[in-house]
Amino acid sequence: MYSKGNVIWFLLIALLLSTSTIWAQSVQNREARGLEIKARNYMANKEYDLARPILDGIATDTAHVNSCEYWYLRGFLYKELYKRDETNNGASDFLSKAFDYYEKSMTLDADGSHKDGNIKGIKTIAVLSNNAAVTSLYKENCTENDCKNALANFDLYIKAMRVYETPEAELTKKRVEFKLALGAIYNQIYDAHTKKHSEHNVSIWDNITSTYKGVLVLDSKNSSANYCLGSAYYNRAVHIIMHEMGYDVDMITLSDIQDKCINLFKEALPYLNKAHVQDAINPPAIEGLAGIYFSLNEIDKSNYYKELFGKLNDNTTEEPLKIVEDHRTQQDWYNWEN
Amino acid sequence: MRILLIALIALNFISGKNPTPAQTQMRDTNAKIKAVFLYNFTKYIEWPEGKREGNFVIGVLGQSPVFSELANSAHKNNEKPSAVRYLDIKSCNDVNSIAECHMLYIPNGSSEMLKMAVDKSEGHNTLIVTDKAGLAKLGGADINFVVSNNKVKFELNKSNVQKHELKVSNLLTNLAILVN
Repeated sequence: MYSKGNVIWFLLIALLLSTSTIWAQSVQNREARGLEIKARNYMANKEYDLARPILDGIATDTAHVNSCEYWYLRGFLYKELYKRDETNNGASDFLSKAFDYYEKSMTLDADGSHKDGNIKGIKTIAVLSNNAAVTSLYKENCTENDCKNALANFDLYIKAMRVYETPEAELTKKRVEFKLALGAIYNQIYDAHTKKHSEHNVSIWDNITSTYKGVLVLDSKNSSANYCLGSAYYNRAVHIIMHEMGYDVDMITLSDIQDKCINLFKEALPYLNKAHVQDAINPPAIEGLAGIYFSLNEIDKSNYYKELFGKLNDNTTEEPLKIVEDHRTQQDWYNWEN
Repeated sequence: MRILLIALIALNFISGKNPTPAQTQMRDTNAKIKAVFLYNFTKYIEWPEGKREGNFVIGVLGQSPVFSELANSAHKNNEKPSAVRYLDIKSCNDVNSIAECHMLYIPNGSSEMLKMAVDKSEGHNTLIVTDKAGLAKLGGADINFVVSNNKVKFELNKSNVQKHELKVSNLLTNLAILVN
C-alpha cells in the first residue's frame, strides 16, 4: 500500500518533530531553572517581591511541577511574605498557601532531602496561624468576620499540627479551648448587638449555639460548654419576652410567644443540669437553673436552686460540696428526677 | 512588645483562661407575661358607661414585680398618639384605695386581702384579677392566673364578671378556662 520511500519520509518527519519538541522543552526547562536560580538569589537577599512573580510564573513548568525543591522554595517565600506584610491581616491567605506548598513538597520528597526544611516551615506556620487566630479573636471590637478569620487560621493551625504528628488528644484539647473562646466572643458580639439595636441577631446566635455544640461533640462532658449552651437558650427566651415582645401584643401572639419560649427554656434545661451535675458547686449554673425553673413556673424547683445559690454565696466556712449534698437531701423531688 | 502581647494572649488562650463566658440574665419573665395579659384585658373587656371616660386605672395590691412591668406598659401606651385612654398604674398598700380602680391585680403574696377587696369594690365595676389557685372559683375573683404545662393561662368566672357589670369579649372567653 505504502511505498518504501514514503515510509522513510514519514519516519524522518516524525523524528524531526519529536527532536524539536524535546529540544524546545529542554530550552524551556533550562530557562525555568535559570529563573528559579534568579528567584533563589532574590530570596537570599530577602527581595521577596522580586522572587514572587518568578516563582508563581514557573509553577506549571514541567521542570517544577514535580520538584520538591521548587515547592519548598515557594512555601518558604509565602511564609516570609506573610511574616513581613500580612501579620495584621486576619484574612490573609499567604499562610494557607505556604502550607499547601510545603505539603506538596513533602509529598514529592521521595528521598526525604527536604523533610527537615518542610517540617520546620510547617512548624512556623503552626505558630503563626495560632497567633493569627488569637489576634483576630481578641481584637478590640471583634466582628463576625474576625471570628471567621480566626476560625480559618485555627483550622490551619490544626492542619499544621497534624503534619508533625501531634497526638489527637492534644489537638482535641486545643480545639475545645479555641471553641470555648470563640463562643465567648460570639456572646460578646451578640450582647453588644442586642444592646445597640435591641433585636436578636439570628446568625450570631446560631454561631453561639453551633460553637458550643461543636465543643460537646469533642468533649460531651465539658461543663463550660453545657453551661454556655444552656445560657444561650435561656437568654434567647428571656430576650424574646423582655425585649422583643411588646406590651400590646394580642392574646394569640402572646400564646405563641409563650409556647416558643417554653420550648427554649426546656432546651436550656438539660445543658444547665449537666453543667450542675458535672460541677456541683458551679454557682452560675445553679443560678441559671433557678431562672429556668422560675420561667417555667416550677416555683418549688426554682426556690430549691435559689436557696442553694444563696447558701453557697453566703458560705465562708463550710465545704461547698457538703452544702450541696445537705441541700439535696432536703428535697424529695430532686432525688425523684435525678 | 507586640509579639510579647500576642505571646501572652496565646498563652492565656492555650491555658484555657477564656474570655468571660455567657451569663444567664436573671429576669422575671412571668411578670412581663402577666402584665401583657392585664393590658389585653383592658382591650377585651367592656366597662359600663360611667367608667369609660378619663384615665384607665389599674391597681396592684401589695408588692409585685408586675407593678413595674405594668408601669412600663402604661408608659409605652401613653406615649402613643393613637392611645384611646391613658393608663394609670397605682400601687395600693391596702384595700382602702382600690375604689377608683377599673382593674385590681392581687398578687399571690397579697391573696389574703382578696375578701376585703371584693367587699370594698362592690358597686365600683372593678375587675379583680388574682394569682393563686382556686381564687376565681371560690374566692370571688373575676379572673385568676394559673399555670398549665408551664404556661401562664387564666381562669374566668363569668358570674363574678357579670356581678361587676363587665362584658367580656367572645375571644377572651374562648381563650379562658371557665370556672363557674
